[in-house]
Amino acid sequence: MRAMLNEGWQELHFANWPKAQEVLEAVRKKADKGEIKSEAMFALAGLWQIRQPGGNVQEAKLLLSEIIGEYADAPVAPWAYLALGRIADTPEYERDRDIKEARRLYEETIKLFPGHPATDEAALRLGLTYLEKVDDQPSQDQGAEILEKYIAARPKNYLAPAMLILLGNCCEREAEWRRAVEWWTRADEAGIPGLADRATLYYKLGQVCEIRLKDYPLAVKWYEKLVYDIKRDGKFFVSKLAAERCRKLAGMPPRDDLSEL
Amino acid sequence: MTAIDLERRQQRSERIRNWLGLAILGGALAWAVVVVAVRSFGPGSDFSLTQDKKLIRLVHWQLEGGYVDGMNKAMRDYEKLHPDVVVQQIDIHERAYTQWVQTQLIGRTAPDLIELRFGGNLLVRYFVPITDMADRPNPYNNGTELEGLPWRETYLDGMMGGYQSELQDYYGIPTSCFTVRVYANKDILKKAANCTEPPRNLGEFLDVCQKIQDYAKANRLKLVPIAGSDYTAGIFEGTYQSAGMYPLIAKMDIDLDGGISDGERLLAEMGGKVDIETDPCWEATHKLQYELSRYYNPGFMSAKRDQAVFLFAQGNAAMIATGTWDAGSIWQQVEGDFEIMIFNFPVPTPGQKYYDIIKYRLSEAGYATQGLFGLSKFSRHPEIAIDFMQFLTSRKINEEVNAKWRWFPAIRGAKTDELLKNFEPHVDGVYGPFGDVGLNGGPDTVLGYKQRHMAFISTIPPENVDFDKWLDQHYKKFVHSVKENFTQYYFSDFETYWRNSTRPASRRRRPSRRPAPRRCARG
Repeated sequence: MRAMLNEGWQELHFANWPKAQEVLEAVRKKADKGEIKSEAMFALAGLWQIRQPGGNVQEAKLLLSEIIGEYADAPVAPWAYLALGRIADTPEYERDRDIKEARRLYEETIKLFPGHPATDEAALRLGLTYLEKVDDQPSQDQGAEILEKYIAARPKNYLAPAMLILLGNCCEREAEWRRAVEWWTRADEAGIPGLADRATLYYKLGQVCEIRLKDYPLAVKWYEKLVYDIKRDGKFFVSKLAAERCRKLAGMPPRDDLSEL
Repeated sequence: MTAIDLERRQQRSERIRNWLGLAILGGALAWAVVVVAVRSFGPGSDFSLTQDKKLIRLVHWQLEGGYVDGMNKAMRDYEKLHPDVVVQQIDIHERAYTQWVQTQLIGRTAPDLIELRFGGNLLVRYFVPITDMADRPNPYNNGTELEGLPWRETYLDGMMGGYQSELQDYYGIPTSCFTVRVYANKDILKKAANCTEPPRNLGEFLDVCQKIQDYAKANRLKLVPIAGSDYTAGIFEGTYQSAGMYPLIAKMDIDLDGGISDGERLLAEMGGKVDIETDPCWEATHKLQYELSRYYNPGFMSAKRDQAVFLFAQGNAAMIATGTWDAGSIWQQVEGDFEIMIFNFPVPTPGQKYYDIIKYRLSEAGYATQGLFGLSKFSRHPEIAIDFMQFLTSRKINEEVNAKWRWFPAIRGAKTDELLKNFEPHVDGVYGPFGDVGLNGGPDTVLGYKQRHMAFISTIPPENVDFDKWLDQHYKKFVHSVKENFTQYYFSDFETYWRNSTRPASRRRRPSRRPAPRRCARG
C-alpha cells in the first residue's frame, strides 16, 4: 500500500492528474484507517487544489477537514491545517480571500503543533497577513511582534532567514537602520539558501552600512562577503570597488588579493 | 445527324464530364487518405517507431547551424542506452514558435519538452515545476566529482537560470550559457579601415565604422559597417544603455538593494530627482545609440536577426553584434570566405566622447545559464523526459553537445570549444540597473518611450549639416516628447505598480508538496 501511495505522489508530482487521482483514490479506498489513508487523502486534497483545468477547491477543503477531524494524530494533520489556512488565504477567481479564517487556521496550527515545521510556515504566513498592510502601522507592528516572538521561541526554524529579513525590512521602513542591519545579519547567520538572494542581501547590507550608517568597516565586511563568498554575481565588480573605497574611508589597509580577483 | 442525336450526344458528353470530375475528386481524396495513413502508421512514422517504445518529443526554435545535428547525436546516444525509448526533436522557426507552442498547449498536444521563452501564467498553467528533481543527484554524473551532488549544484550558476523567483520554483532546465560580442570581417576592416586588431576603445570603433562607410561610398559598394536588425540593434542599445544608466542608481535606488524597480524609477522622475530632459546619462546613452544607428543598414528596424546574420556572412556588413548562439551559424555560413575577429563592446577612454558617463562595460559575472527546456504537463512519460534532460546535462554529454553547438556548456567542469575563447565571460564591469534591456516603469510610459525611440533612431539627418548640432536638436525634440508622454502616464503607471506590489504574496498559487521539512542549506 505504501508503494502504491508513493506511486500516487509521483504521478501527482508530474501532474498526471487522471492517473494520480486513480491511484490515490484506490489507496484511500483500500487502506485501513490510519497513516496511509490520511496521507492519500492529503495528496488528493493537493490534487484538487492545484489541478488545472478541473480543480475543485471545495473537494480539497472537505478532504482536509476530514483529516483534521478524523486523523488529528496523523503526521499529515499539521500540514492539513496549514493547507486549509492557505486555501483561505489565497483568493481564486470565484471567491475572495478570507483573511480572518486564514489567521484562525494559522493560529490553530501553531497552538496545536508546536515545534512542527508546518508551524514555522504558519507563523510566517500569519505574520505576513499583518505585514502586507504596508500603510497600516498597527498592523505592521503586530506582524513584526508575531515574528519576533516566534523567532525568540524557535530561532533555528527552517524559515528563520525569511522571518529575519522581514523583520529587518520593517525596521528599514522606520529608518531604524542599525536594527535593520542586526536583523539582516541574523538572517545571514541563519543560512539563506539561495546564492542570488545572499548576494542581494550582502550588497544591500554594504550599501546601508556605507550610505545610511557611514559604518565603513562594517560596509567592507558585507561587500567583501559578496566578493569572496558569492563571486558569481553581477554586482561582483562594483562590490570590489565599493570594498576598496570603504577601506580607504575607514583608514583600513588595502587587501592585496582584492584587486587581483 | 438530327437535332435529337446532337442533344443526346451533348448530354452524354456532359455526364462523362461530371463523372470524370467526381472521379478526379475521389482519386485525390483516396490519395490524401493513403498519404496520411502511410505517414501516420507506415514505416518511419511515430506509430511504427513507437509501437513498443516510448516516444519523447522535444521542441525548440534553434535553427542555428549545428544545433539540430548536435541534439540528434545526443538523442541517438540516449536511445542506445534506453532501447525502449525514441526521442524526436521538432524545430520551429523563431517567428512562429510562440504561437505554435501556445496552440499545442491549449490543444493538449504539446511535446514533452519545450524550449522556454515565456514565463508567469503560461508556466504555472502548462508546465511542471522540477524543484524536487533539481534537489536529487543526476545519475549520469556518476564516476565524476559531480556524483551525488544535487542536479542544480552541478550547474555553473546553481541552475538559477531555470529558477522562477515569482513562482519560487525551478521550471526550466538550462543546457548552455551565452555571452554577446562583436563579430568582425577581418578582411573588410583591413581593406576599408586599415584595422587589423580589435578597436581598443569606443572612439577607435566609431572611427573604424566611419572609415568603412566612407570606403563603401567612395567605391559604390553595398557595404555597411554594422549589420542591423531590430534584434542586433537591441544588443548594442542594451549594452550601452545599461552601462550608461548605471550612475542613475545613486539617485533612484531608494531601498539600496542595487536594483531599480518600476516604482523607484517612477518616483525618481515624478519627484524631480531625475529630469530626463537634462539628465546627462539619458543624453549620452541615447546620442550614442543614434550615432551607432548611422552605421546600420537602411531599414534595419524591420530586418530580423537571420537577415542581419546573412548580411554579415555574405560580406555586405563588416560587423555584427550577436551572441554565442549564432557562432555556429555564422562560422557555417562564412565557410572560410573570410577571417572572423571577435571582440567585446569597446568603451570610451579618458578624453573621449561619452567617457563622463560610460566608464565600464557590463559585467558578465552574474550571467545565468540558459537554453531552458520545460516539462509540459501533457507529457505521457514525464520521468523519461526528465531522465533525458539529466542525460543531456550530465557533464560529459553537455560538453559534447555544446561543442557541436559551439556554445558554452552549462555544467561545472565541462570544457569549452577553443573557438569560444574570445567569448569567455569577463567579470569587470557594472551591472544593468534596469534589469535586462531598456527602462522599467509602467506599461504606458514604456510603450510611449519605445514608440518615440524608434522614430528617434531611424531618422536620417539631412545632408550637409553640422552633425553634432543637428543631433543635439534631434535629441532634445525626442526627449521632450518622451517627457511629455511620461508625465501623462506617470500616475496611472504608478497606480498599477502600487497595486501589483502590494498584492499579498499569498495570492500566488503554489503546488502542494509531500509533507516533509525542507532543507535550509546554503545554496
